[in-house]
Amino acid sequence: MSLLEVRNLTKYFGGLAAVNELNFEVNEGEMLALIGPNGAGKSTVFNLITSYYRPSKGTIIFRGKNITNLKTHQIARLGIVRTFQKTNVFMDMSVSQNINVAHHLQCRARDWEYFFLSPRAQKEEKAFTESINKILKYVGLLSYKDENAKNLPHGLLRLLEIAIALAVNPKLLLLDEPFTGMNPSETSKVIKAVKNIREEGIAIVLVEHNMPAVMGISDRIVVMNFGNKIAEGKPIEILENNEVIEAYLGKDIE
Amino acid sequence: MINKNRLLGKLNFYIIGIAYLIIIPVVFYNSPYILSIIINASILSCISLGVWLTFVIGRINIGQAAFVGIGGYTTAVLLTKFGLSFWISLPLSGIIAALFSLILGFALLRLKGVYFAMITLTLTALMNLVFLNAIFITNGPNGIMNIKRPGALIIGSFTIIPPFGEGNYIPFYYLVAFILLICLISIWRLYNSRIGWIFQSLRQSETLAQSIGINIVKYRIVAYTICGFLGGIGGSLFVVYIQNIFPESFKIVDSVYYMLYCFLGGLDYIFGPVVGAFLLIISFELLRSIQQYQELIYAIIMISVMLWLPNGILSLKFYRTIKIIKEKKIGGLRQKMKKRE
Repeated sequence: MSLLEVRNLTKYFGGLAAVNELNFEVNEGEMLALIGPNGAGKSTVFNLITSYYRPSKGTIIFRGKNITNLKTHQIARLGIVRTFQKTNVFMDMSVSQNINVAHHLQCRARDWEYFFLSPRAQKEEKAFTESINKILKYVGLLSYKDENAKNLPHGLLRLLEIAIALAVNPKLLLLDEPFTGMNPSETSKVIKAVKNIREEGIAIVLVEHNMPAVMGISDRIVVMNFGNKIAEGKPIEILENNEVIEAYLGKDIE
Repeated sequence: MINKNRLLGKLNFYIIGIAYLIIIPVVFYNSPYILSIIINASILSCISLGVWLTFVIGRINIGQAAFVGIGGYTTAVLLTKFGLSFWISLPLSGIIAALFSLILGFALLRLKGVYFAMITLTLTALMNLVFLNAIFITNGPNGIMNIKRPGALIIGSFTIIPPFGEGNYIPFYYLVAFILLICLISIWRLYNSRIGWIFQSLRQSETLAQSIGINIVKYRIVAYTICGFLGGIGGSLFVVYIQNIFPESFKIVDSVYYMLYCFLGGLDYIFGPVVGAFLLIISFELLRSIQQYQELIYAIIMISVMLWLPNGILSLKFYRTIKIIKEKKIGGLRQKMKKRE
């Protein structure tokens, strides 16, 4: 059974169809890449899945449950977590506190218990500290633990974003251009992190312009152009698809 | 280095606390003038603390005077028309003001930035008109006068607090000081607990907070409700302190002052609003002769603070040490990066 199913998803901004009758599926534990030229509607798809936008038409089904009309935080509770195209972390917090806040959904103690530091809250805080260290070690940020997020360079911030998303305990991770603006060594670091995450069994949908990276790590690729899906298949099939080449490079003049 | 600073901060806190609770009341036992200034500043600090909390969630709140008014009128009406005890009216005023902010918060908090500031500004003006025109409750522009001082607090057959005499400021001083301390400690605890972190995360990025599963609507309303509660409590204290209430006390200017206290003290510090309120109130009492220019001077202070001291007075004290720590940290980070590469 597929993990996420997008059916006839449509979003109009005014008269413009940013996403038009889009259908795709994400399987359990799969790495799906969503590519396309600028303005193809990839980020809009993410915004629709995580309910930052309401779709004009269509349904989104996650593990057999219709999540089209849920709120963003409810969707996160189900296990769909995203990162953002523009770096989005809590800039005025330390790296470890960023991750700590992201443990919000794993809190069993009520808020007032944290206020009065009840035994249960204390126990959870302790467990979170361990989990923070584990996550930071996992993405390779442990040595920057107490650093203020705003002092980190861009590449590490993107890693921090992924770490924040991991702290939410996702089943499906939506990564919006995680390799943008990075030098090759940073890129390879993030690619390694993403591969590791995938091996944990977390399904990933990846929006990315860095083609070598996409071809290297994804199982399947969906290509969009002007809001429509123009191709879907294995990386090797996509490379040979005429329509995709046309969308990226334009047509030959006969 | 950091630990030493912390220790110093703690020491400062205790010294100021002892001065506030013991030295001032003992030394100025016979000068109601000075006591009244400090009482006034304490009540205003309590109110501004609420405004500060809305700054923590990233909203510029110019509507606090409305909730102060609601709390004040609640106490005034309960005391004069229903003859209730002050000790019941005080929490009730807080709760009613909090209820108003809860209901209004649902609608108002959808707005951000300058739009939220504008709508809260209008809220103050609107509530002022309500106070002026709801004559059957508020007695309109004539206000409610001759409000009694708090009576004794009796539970069972025990007198916990004796009745407050006229002209004696010490019991009132301690009442206000006690409430301010409780507010400060609870807000401090709140700010440093998980709820406080969530509030801070809302200021830094609401979109990210949503995506990690935080119900942002709920938490920002919680913050705004606490803000309203503190306003209501402050209004209630204010009314029994000056013993009358008029709509003129709850105007846009007052809302702006509450905000100014926060700015002046520093938005990053829990003591910010307290420092701001005490500093402005005391300095203006010292400069009594120029009080007709008060608003002009307030405006100049506000502009200059925003220009040259965006992190408030408290940032001055720590400026040097913080700079040193930062330099060290950034230097350390560079070394770390080099090592890794």
